[in-house]
Formats: sequence, structure tokens, C-alpha cells
Amino acid sequence: MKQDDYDLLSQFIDDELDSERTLIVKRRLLAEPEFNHLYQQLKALSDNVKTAIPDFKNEPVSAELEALLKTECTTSTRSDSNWRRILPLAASVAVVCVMGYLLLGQPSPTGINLKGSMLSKLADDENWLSENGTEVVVVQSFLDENQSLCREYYAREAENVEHGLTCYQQGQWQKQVFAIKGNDSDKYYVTASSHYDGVEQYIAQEGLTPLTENDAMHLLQSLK
Amino acid sequence: MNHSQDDLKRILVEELPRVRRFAFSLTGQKADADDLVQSLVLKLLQKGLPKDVSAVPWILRVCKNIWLDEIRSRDVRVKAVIENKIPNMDQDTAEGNQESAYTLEQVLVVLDQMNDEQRMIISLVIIEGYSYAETAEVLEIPQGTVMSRLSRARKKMLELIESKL
Repeated sequence: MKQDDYDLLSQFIDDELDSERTLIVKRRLLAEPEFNHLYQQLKALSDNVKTAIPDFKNEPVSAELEALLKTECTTSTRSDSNWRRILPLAASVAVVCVMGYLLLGQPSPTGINLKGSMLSKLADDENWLSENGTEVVVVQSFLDENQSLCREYYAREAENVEHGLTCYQQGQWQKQVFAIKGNDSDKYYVTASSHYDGVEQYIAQEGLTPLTENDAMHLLQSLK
Repeated sequence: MNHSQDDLKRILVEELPRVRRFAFSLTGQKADADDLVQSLVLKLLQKGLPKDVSAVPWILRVCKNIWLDEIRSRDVRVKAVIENKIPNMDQDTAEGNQESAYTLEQVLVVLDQMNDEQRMIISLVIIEGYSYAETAEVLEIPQGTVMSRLSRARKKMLELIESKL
């Protein structure tokens, strides 16, 4: 195979191709067995590399390193403080999720899959269709108190519309709060805010600083 | 302006698994990785972490630079303990089912044979899931270079595995 084929498949595996070239690769994968075989090999290699490296999440650290990283309030990591802040919100989401499940039979613990869309595509804040057919619109951008970029968005997939806030933390977009409604706009079955009034819903997150569009775009570029 | 020491420590604690993975992918050994992380933490605590930068890419970039300084001073990189040969792949494995064909040990052995630049890119893109643009920022190289080095690294890894069959 040519080096160009390796380049193309490597970018395809890493989701770095634009939609036009992605389509070209998909067509070639269907039409060219040798090309497809190379893809399978490269994909398997990537999957195995991921698995081969320990994740270090539960690996103990040396006493020296632990001492270096000790703070006056060691247990209060950013995640902890975030968690404490959104705990009441999370609890209300959980309650309404359960209610939604009981009433409508449509639990949605994670909502619409945004994939990498927030990072890779939304710099211009225009409507677009993600790889999985989800339409996403960014409403506004914020910096949270830890200087993480956050974005309020609407996402539509089939008959569901999701309204949420996602922040770029620990190298990935993490939904902070979100709400989903179905076909009937009067029947929200999940809400994430105490401001919920039965018709509209709001994204509530403390410590957010609105960004201008230019600033948001600069930050997105730096995250890319 | 820098983050406070406590803020910096909290960021480091939160990102520690990622930083250790990155260090491991550079060094190939847990003990060396931990030494590298310790040097990194010491340096960051001394120099501080600017508030106007993306923290994680910055930290990984400092880690990379410390490692490059280290290997320059050592002249040659310390090789991993892993035996430097690739075992045969399972002969019964169907050709199309490559996922089960490589053992984790084989992958580690092949990774160990990549050069430092290739390993850093593999670590950031494949293991950490960084985009090419993010990786380019960490490594301070053009995005196109990330793409070409990664593609060549993948090709080389496949060739290394296949050459041992």
C-alpha cells in the first residue's frame, strides 16, 4: 500500500478528516478489500496500544511525590468542589429522570451523544450535523471558575432536543447539566435547573463568565 | 501571572493519571515514568503554571522537554525491561480479526522500538485522544508533522509486527 493510504487511514481512525474525505474513505473501504484490510490492522493496532498502556488511575504514587503534592486541603480537588457545587442540581436531575422514566418510559442518563463536536466543529457557532446525525447549536460560551471553557448548546437527534451545558475538563467535554424534551414541547421529562417553570428551562451553573465570540474561538483553537 | 501553589497542586493531582501515562509512554518503564513525573512536579512547583495557558498541554509540554533533556544527558535512552523480541502471533487467528491477534506485550515491545518523537505522538493522539492540533501545541511542531509522523509510526509498528511473523 502507498504511504498516502496510511496517511488517509491514520487520519480517518483519528477522526481528523473532513466530511468529504471521510466519505471517500468509507467508499474505498467498501470497494477495496486490501484497503479495508489495512484499516482493520491499523484500527486494531490503535485499540491495542490504548489497552497496553496502564491507566494509572489506581496506581499508588511514591511518598515523595505525595508529599510534594500535598496541599492544606488535599482532599478538595477541583472535581470534588465541582461535585459539591452541582450535587443539589444532580440530585434534582436524578429525581426528574426517575419521574420521566416512570411517566414516559424514556430514561436518558447521558442524553444525546455529542462526540467530539464541541471541540472540533463549533468554532463558528453555526448549525451543523455531526457524524451521528446530531444537529448541534452553540448558544453561548463561558469560562468557569477553573478557567475551563464551557458551552451552552442545543442538540437535536430524531425527535429529541437537548439543552445543556458542557465544559472542557480533563481533556474532554463533560456535560454539567442538560435537559431533554420530546415531541410534545409542553412535556419536559428531564430538567436540570431549579429555574424550571414548566415551559422554559435554564442552565444554572455558578461561577461562569461569559466570553465574547472572539475569545471563545481563540480558546477553542487552543484546545484543538 | 501564575496559578497559586495550591491550585497548581490540585491541577496536578487531578491530571496525575494522564501525566503518568504520558511519562510511561516516553520512558517505557513505570519507575522511570515516576521519576520523570517527580522531576516535572518539582519544576512546575518552582517555576509555576501560567494562568493564561491551557494547563494540561502546558504540563505535558514541560514533561516532554524534561524527558528530552534527560535523554540528551544520558546519550542513549534506557531501554525497557521487556524482552526485545516479538512473539509469534496466534496462527489460528483469522486474518480479518486483528484485534485479538496482537498481545499487549507485543504492542509494548513495538512501542519500545519507536523513537521518542513517535512515542510522544502515539501517546497523545492514540492513548490520550488528543486532536492533531492539540498534539501539535504540546509538542510545538506543525500539525502536518503530527499527521505524517503518526502515520509513519503506525506503518512502522505494523511492519515490525509482521516482520516477526
